[in-house]
Amino acid sequence: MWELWCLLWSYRKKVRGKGVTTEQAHMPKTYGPFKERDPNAGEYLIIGFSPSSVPLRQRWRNNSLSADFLADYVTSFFPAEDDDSSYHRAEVKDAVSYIANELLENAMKFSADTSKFPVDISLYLHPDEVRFYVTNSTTVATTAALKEKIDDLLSGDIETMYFNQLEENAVAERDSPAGAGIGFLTILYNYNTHVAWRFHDVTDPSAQTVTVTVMISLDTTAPIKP
Amino acid sequence: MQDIALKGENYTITYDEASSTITFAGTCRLWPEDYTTVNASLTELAAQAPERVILDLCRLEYLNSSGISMLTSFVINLRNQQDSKLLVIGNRAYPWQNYALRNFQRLLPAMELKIE
Repeated sequence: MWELWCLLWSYRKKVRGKGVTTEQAHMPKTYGPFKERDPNAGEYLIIGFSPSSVPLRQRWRNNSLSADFLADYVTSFFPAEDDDSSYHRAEVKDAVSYIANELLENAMKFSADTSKFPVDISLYLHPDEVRFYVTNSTTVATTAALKEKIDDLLSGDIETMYFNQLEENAVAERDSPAGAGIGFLTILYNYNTHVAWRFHDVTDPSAQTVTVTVMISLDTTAPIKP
Repeated sequence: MQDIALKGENYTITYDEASSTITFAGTCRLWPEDYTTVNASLTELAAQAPERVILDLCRLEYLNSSGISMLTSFVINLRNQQDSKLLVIGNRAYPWQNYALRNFQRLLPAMELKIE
């Protein structure tokens, strides 16, 4: 009887344990200093890209068009009254366009081919910073490699990683253009930014896809590092 | 390396052999594989260790990270040749060039940089 009770207790623990694990599995996981979207920030814009039958290569130009649109939009809030403010406005525009384009290129490249989920980019204007949020879905297999990359980006020395990656690419690019792994490094090394990610667990179990949101905050008081 | 000319919706990339000048202009944010031809030409040019090369980016408004990586590879390949002199011409109206071109210079300190 005692043995039976122990067995039952052990079973209950396992069931409870599993319950907790399942709940945790659906909790979003955050990496880095993720700041929540703040609809009270004042100005914000969201652009969504629906899954499409048009090949990615044909849609590639939309990344640049959208990035330039976001950058032009932001300039309205940075009046050019003299040489200094004109240059500051140009710097913010340049940074927003570059960062938005890189984030969209990444999201498009790594979105699951079979995904039914859209890619979206939103931009929130705060008094001292612009925050970008880009959400896409990706495969579970891609996620593992991405998490490794994230660990490196959050814990490594960005300057060393930046120049090492360029030296590695120079060897790889003797055969074909690669440009691999340099997008986030350019954003973090050249601009005054912070990056964070949020993973929402399996959003489509049948397709084994996961939704990922990357957040970049850009310091608009000094967008480009000196 | 022969003269090259690549034109897209918003960009042009040219190489003038007579003046040994590579020019990028417009907004150059190609799909990574679309840089293949230009990348091959730049790699070939660096391998020939030309005495002097001019990289004119005066009219290059934007370049994506794949393009930055490709041009940086070219700079690194020239550095490894040790016999080539490189002049890069930039434009202060395009703020990204301030850091990108200085990063080139860090990899190739002998590079001459003119930001106009």
